Amino acid sequence: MWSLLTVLLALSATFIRMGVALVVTVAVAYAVGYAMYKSRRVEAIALPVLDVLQSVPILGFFPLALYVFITLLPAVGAELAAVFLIFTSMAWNLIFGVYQSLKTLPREYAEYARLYLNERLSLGHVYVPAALRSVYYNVLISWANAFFFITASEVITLGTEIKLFGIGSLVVSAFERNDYATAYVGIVAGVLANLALYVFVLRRLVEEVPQPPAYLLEKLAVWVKHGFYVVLGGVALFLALVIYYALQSPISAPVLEDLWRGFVNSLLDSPYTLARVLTVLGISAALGLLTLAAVVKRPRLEVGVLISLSILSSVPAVFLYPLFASFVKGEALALVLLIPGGVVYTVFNLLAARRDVPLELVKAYRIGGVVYYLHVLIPASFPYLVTGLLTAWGGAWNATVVAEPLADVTGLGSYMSSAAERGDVAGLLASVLVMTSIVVAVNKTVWKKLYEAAARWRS
Amino acid sequence: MALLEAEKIKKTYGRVVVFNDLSLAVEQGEFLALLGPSGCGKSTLLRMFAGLEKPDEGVVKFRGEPITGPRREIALMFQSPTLLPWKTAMDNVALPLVARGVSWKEAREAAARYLAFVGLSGFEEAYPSQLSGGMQQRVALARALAVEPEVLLLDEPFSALDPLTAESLRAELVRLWHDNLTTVHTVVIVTHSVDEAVYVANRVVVLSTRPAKVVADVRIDLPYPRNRKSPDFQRYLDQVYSYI
Repeated sequence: MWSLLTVLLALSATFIRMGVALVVTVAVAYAVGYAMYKSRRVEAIALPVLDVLQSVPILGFFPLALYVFITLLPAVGAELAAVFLIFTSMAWNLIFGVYQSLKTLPREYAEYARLYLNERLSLGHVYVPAALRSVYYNVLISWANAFFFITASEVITLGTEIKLFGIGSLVVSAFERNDYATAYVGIVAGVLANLALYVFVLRRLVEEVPQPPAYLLEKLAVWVKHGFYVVLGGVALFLALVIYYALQSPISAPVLEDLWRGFVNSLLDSPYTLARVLTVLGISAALGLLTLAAVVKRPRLEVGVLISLSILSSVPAVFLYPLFASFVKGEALALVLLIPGGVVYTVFNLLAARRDVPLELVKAYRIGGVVYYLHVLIPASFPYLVTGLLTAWGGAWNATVVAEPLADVTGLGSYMSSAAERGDVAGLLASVLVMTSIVVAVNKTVWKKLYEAAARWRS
Repeated sequence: MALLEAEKIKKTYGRVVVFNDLSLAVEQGEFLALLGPSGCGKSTLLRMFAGLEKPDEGVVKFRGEPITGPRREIALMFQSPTLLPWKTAMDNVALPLVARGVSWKEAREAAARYLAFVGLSGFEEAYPSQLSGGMQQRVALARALAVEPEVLLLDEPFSALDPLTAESLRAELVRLWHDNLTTVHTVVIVTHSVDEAVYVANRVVVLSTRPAKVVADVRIDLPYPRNRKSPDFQRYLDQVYSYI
């Protein structure tokens, strides 16, 4: 009874924290997305910066969270740090979502706004509502992603460990104490709460795209118009603090040596993680295509698939871990923990390809078997497959920082999380840099090429 | 002084020269049809009159004053209805009035009037997705009329509609203008249909391919509403066709 109450309180604490982070995220997404849409200069700077930021694993933000918030504001710093970390696992797709939906708004709407409206009304009644569909959809994704990393946000370790009261830290602590009852109650409660949230709130937002009342939209318009300057101010303050701390601890020979060692270890551990990520992508692609083929055949399956996906995405790896650990160990366990994320992204995107499969042609000419897969299904869904795999690629690398240590296997994710635990800032920095570079470099080469190939196909 | 004037305008997009020294004046009270091959710059000229684009050289004027941006006296209707899908028909019409300082209550009253005017009474609370293409374009027309402009600019407003719907809207538009039922006294319509031009306009200007030049400027001296079967109508059709 007592533990059930604790679990419920912990769950509420986590949800409140995530709710606060979500509100901040949506506000920032609108402000930055609109500024990028409005100004080519902002767009040119923000796009590559966001591209890199979305590839930085959550542990990469630990030093920032710790030094800026906890050192500066001892009283409330830990809470702020947690909200900040949750923000980093929610923000990037939402900013891109707002930016892209404004960017793809037909030109006539922008002209209509210029001809007939002022900026406040344009924002409140044209631009903010136009991005809502994408915002709601990305809220769903962001929430799931933030929950996946909830233990990392609530248990901040960098030498010293800071644990905040919440469902993520509660489950971790319970496992550490071998208090399996509490841990399982926590896991079930977390899964159920997310499921309820999906069924009663998030699914409706995505399906019905409800419009906020006019007065709220017009208030939001004021923020969207000026918010970018607030965000810029915040970023500037952040950078100033980081530089200040960096200058206080000048780079000495031992630090350089630590960094060097960190880089070498990171590079040595990367191939293991790379192999795991590629396996996850392969399995995700195969599962995604099979699911697409099934849904094309029986469209009624789509709802069921979507519900299963959201259940899958609302269960964080650390919550799955005790369940799977009793069946599999080591390498297999790492893959089992990584696959859900990859599958969710790939299948989600591939399902959107359903309408692009020329079903009547297939029926009229009785195309089936291998020919159907190779010459109809895969080409028709290729752009969606690329988008899904691209997202899964970045997501899988970042997920290894949680999955690899749980499975106790060698890899970049394990190295990074152990560096954080030891308080080895140089090692953490080096491994974050290596991971981010790998993700961004492959995005810019392989995925970009595939994207271009897909675009050529479609037009 | 002409009401709308383009004086020796030049406009290029990259290496594409759209206008090189084009001049055109529109007098008050005219219903002018701009005809020309696709991509000749008809829409660009219309958008310059609307204040959405500026010429690289030369000047576009309204009552002798250079047009530097959108003006209240001039309304533009797009090829697609461009309605906000999240607003009812009434609020779509009312919003531009609110932007001009009218309260929501008064704006909605005016919107209801203009919706009735275009034959949409009873559809005030309908969302665009619940309306047919023709009805959506009617809402767009009501929206353009509700701001009480003097000049109505129309960019191929009927080209996306089925022929029957287009025909009834066309006749209605001519009636609104000819019988002075609204504040609009001057209309400029961009079209690629010779028949439509001769049916609605009292002046047809034919533009050439890029860079656009005026190849013909024909006054259509026929009474409204026009009869397509009359020999005079056929004569005008043949005449305009000969320039294309």
